[in-house]
Amino acid sequence: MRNTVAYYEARAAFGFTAVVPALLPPVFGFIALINWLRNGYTPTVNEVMSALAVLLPLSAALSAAHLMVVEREENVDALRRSYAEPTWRLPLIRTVGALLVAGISVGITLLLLRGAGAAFPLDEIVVPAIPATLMMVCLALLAGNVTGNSPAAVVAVIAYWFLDMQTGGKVTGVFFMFNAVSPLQDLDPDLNRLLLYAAAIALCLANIAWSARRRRVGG
Amino acid sequence: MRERFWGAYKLELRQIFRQWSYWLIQAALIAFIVNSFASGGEFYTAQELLWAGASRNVIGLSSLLVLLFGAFGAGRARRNRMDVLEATLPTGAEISLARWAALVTSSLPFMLSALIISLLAGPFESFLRGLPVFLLESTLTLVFTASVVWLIEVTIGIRRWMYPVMALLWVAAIFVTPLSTVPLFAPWAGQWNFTRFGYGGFTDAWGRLAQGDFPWLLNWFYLGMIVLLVGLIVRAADRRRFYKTTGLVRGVVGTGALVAVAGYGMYGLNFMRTIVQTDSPYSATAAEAFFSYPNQPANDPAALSYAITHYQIALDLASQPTFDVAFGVINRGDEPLETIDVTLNENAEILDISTAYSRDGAYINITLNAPLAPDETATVELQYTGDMHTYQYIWGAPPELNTFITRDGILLKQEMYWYPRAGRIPDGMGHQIIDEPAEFSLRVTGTDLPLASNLRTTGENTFESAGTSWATLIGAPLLEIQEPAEGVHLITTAHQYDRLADYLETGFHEVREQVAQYFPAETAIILTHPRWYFTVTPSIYEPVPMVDRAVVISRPPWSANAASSYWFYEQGIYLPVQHFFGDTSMTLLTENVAQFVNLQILHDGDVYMMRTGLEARTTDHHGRPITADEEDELLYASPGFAFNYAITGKLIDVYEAHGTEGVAALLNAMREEAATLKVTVTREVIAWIDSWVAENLADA
Repeated sequence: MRNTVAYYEARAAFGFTAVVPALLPPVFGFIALINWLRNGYTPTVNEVMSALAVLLPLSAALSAAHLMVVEREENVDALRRSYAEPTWRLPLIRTVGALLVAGISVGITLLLLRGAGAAFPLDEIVVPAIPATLMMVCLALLAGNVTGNSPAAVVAVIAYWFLDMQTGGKVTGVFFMFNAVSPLQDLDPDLNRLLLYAAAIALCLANIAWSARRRRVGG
Repeated sequence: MRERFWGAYKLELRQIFRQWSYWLIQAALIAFIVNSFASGGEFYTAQELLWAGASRNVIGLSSLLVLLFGAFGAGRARRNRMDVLEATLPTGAEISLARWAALVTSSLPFMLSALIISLLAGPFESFLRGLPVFLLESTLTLVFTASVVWLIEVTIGIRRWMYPVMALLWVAAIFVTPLSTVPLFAPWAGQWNFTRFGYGGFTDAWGRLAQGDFPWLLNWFYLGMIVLLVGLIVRAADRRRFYKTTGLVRGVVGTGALVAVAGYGMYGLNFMRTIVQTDSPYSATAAEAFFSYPNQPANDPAALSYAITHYQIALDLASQPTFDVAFGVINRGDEPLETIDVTLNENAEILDISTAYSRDGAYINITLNAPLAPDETATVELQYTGDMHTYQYIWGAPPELNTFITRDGILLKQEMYWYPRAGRIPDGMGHQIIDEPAEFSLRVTGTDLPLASNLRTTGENTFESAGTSWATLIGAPLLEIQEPAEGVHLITTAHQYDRLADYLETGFHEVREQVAQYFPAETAIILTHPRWYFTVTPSIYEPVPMVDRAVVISRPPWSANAASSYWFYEQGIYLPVQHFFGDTSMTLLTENVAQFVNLQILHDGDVYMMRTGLEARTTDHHGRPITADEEDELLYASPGFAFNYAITGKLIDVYEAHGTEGVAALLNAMREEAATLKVTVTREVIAWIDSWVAENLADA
């Protein structure tokens, strides 16, 4: 078991650095649970959807910010790059790991929310958060990979998340991440979702390409 | 020791400046701020950008950068496995302090973006006024953040998992401000927003005067925290090296803690003291007092059996503000009138009165010297004093002064009863209840502050109106009254006007001419504060009944974009229409007529485009869905939003058939009947228009 790639990767993906920010949605769920139970209030689908659509992209991205930098920060980067593994494997495994963490975080949150006595339709509360979460995770991984510096990746994702929210899509336009929460008048929601998925794929491919480049030229 | 300090300082600074990411972030921050705040046609003044707006973004984002990149720098030894060596060769506090100082030094250039954008905005005098406070507050935030980072490093050490935690703490600090809406947390939450993101509370006229002691208490708290944190950093380094610390360090820690606790506690106590004085759900008044039905007139002043017919007020500000008030009362009832009730600011201390009276808080029961026969009038003379300090509730921020008289500024609002108002006005309803128009005369002496009012200026610090239901007095060092177009008076500051002048010349003036062809009356716009906009005028949503002129107190438009749309619609079109009809509430009639003029201006009189524009607007409703039956019965609407625009459609028909002259004649006829038409449902107004047009314009 301990000799498998899965074990090594799980240690990176489910380490303290990843788990702490992933607690954000469950903590929200826990506070909400207590608050709602105390006040006998059942939240609306829209309230829960909005909370997840805002929190999940941030927590997932913060959990992923260090994943492409682990080897460099542990000073074993050259060793890892010397292994005979395809260049796409590491970024892809780390992407899957990051998404698994986000998935578990959402799962726990939903269980807690369910404890509040309301059964929420998954497609209405989780699905709207997925495009932005995917994009933010891929952005965090790419930022970490390019800068080789986990605080830089953290700054990149949190600044992007915060400014997108604060400017209400003024800067990001069709890539506005919170369109499900506060829809822009002249933005088609389907197009917005599609573009966020496309951006996530593009960032993921860029991450793979950057890893390949690092294998070739170092850095 | 000094050499070691400078050596470490220069080394750390070099390490930071050598990183390409540092310069990239500088460039990105400047690009973002310049793009966000100077994309053209913005009307922010330099001081506003330095005390609110852009500076809040710059300080907030810089604190994130210092937190994370500072942590990365501070954790370098541990990351490179040098921490054990550092422990075996323990350094004194000078090394930690030198690195801390280098982090602070390298973070200061982040402020450049705010300085650049403010200089670009101008005017320069405004920039100079805003600079010291901006430098103080930005430095306090950055030094505080750097100190937090270094304290963590010298005590428990920076670890990788701390980066996302710090990022989350930063987010939490921003969102702690809305906790100010939770009564239990409110007084003790806002202090922790070290990022300074959020409500700026700035007005060009008064700066932060309305925020009272809160800004300096906050700065006091952070100053104390910095002293405390730096003391703790030195203490940790001392204990690592010498296994003990000095009395001096203990003194610094103690002093810092004392100052921080004092600042924190006084801020919280000040919050608790002032929040109960606000007209808000947190005051002693029952929450239901603040609930009102939209689309309904708030009050019927005609229900009182008496009315105040005139006010003559002499305000002496030479020492303690003293109000000499004479007001006339008329008995409108059928029975003799022996006593009347008036509402006066609770803080006003009555010095003298010409009649017998009793007082219960804000309510004064006056026994007239002789019973007043029906239709008879009497004059009551009253002298009182007080600085009229009252507070208003602000969502997500500490309470703000709502009405005040200070050496640096004056704001007297009708809603806070700075002069006696007829009847017993329930708590929290001062801004919703409209007084009947009365003749008003106000003379102010004993102040050098420039003064302005919604009343006409008739002499030096003398203001009068032939009939007004509200009176506001404003005094501020930079106050100016400008007349950018004939009949339009802007009460503003020199700096604000400087930023607005071009737009007023090219945008406002042209449209004003088109509006004036229907509604030639004088208009005054008082530019003050976004939050006061809703509450300075006598009802919760801006009814402005004055005989002489239309007046509104408004926030300035932030940009030419806003100015060309809603801001202009509201101040430039809606207000004159409201005045034209003598509308004391927001009626559907006013909104429909204003919308017709708006469409005519927007589409240059092209009837097809006006109809298309109207069609788009009818889908732009807000609020809950409304049934067809309800829609048919509506009488009230907000500026720019109505559920029914049938009258606008009818006016377009008239315009198509009879041109501007036809519509002008119709509107003048409607004005004659305004008292009836504004309380008549749409279908009957349309029938009235049809009948009037058939009778008067059929041959045209």
